[in-house]
Amino acid sequence: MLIACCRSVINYFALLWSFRYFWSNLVKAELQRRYRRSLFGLGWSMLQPLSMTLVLGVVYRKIFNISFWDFAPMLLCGLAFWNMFSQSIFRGCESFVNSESYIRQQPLPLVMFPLRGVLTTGFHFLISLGLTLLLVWPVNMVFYPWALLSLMPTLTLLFIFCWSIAILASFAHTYFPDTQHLAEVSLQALMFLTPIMYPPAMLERSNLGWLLQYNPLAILVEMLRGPILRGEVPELFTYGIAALIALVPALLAGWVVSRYEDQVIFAL
Amino acid sequence: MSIRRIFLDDVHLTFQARTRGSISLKDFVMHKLLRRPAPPIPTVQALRGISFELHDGERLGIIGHNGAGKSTLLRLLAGVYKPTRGRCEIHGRISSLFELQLGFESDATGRENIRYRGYLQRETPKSIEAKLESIAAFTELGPALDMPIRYYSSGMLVRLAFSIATSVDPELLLIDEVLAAGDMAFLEKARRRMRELMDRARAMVVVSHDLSAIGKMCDRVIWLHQGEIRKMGTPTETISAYSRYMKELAQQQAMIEAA
Repeated sequence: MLIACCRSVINYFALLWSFRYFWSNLVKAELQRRYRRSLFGLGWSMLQPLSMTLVLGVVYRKIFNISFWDFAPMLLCGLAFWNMFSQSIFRGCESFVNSESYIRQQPLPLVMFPLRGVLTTGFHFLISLGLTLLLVWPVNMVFYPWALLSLMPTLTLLFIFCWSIAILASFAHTYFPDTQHLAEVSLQALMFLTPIMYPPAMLERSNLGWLLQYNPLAILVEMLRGPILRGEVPELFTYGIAALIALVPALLAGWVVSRYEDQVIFAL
Repeated sequence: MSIRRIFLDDVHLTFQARTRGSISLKDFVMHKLLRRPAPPIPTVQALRGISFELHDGERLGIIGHNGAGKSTLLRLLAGVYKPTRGRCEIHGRISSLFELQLGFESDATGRENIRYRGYLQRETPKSIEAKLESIAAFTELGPALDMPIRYYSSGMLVRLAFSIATSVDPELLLIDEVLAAGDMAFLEKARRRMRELMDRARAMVVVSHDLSAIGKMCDRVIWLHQGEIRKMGTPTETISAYSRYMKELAQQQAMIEAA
């Protein structure tokens, strides 16, 4: 049973791999169009997180007396994570519906359509992380090679997490077309329950500190901030938790794919 | 080389005819919470008990009314639909020419879309580059190929789609009446290309309303009626039976109208 299951998973990924030129080139083309091979285009798409960081940084300094150079990288890192997460869901929702004409022509591993969105947003995410590093630099004047290395497993887990959520969103949206709207509403609420726009310390001081421990998104974002902002390598236990956070949606997505992939065509 | 073969044994295809947007998550949750039965979704029995075998070198035609399940059967052979019940074995590489609404990236140029289509046929960047020029030449679109296809007219899109779709080296060829649009000059060229393609294919299944064309092309014809095989036999047998039925139907209708 388990062996058969493993075999079908491996076969599925082999199938996905056999279409690699298709999805990877679509991602590449989209990024190229966005950036038009220029730095200006790149800055354009970073405009949202950067302007947010600048405005909020100035405002928070006035209101809460938080130093701009402490706050800005924290916010930028948080926004990078949040955009990655929310865009994965958003684009995930649309991915099957937008690819209907492909799906009607030939049998395809459907997870490649959400993957396309996750890879594109993932690219922006990595650029935002790079910008965060640049922001940290003038203050700390130190470089944490080990801490940066510790990001690798985190990024891998984050990728699995986002892809799985995107897959779930794509199926949900195909069957229930109001999913995207609901996601929009709940994401907004969720953003305020996650220390994205404010430092986690502010939650700790209030009696909402437990949110930090039980909100998987808060755990993930801190795993990014620790190494980048402070050079702290997360504990092994934290990685275990993160693996669990990624594994649950991944298993769920795997189940949904095996159960409903053949049926999607009838719902489109 | 292995033997190309299509084998269907008692294939049924049933699905729920839910159109997009029929149920919202809100309604779904409400019905679950209030334990109210959700409104029933109509079930469609698209194919019922289809069995046939197609061997290397055979040409099978499928005829029948609209909604008889012809295109559904073709899509099932292509693997787009999985049978609800029964067995469907395909040995060989499938190439399909369905309605030419191929998936296209509207922001990408015609040339880029040729590549993407190639990648979906598991071509590599190298192998598609070798074919690219001949596909591009067949479209006769010239400089327009470097324009995003969102600016294409429908005729241009058909040219592009047709040129890509027919550039394959077919083993098992599935054709759903495709030559609907395009200007006259291209139509003639397209017909020729189709004939070449059919000659090269090892086996073929073709759906058409053009009975005389089917009669000439195929060596076996299936008449589908409401998802079932009403008759299977030589082209003359099946087509004459179908024509008789059509005539009777027309007479009945005329009588109803007269009465």
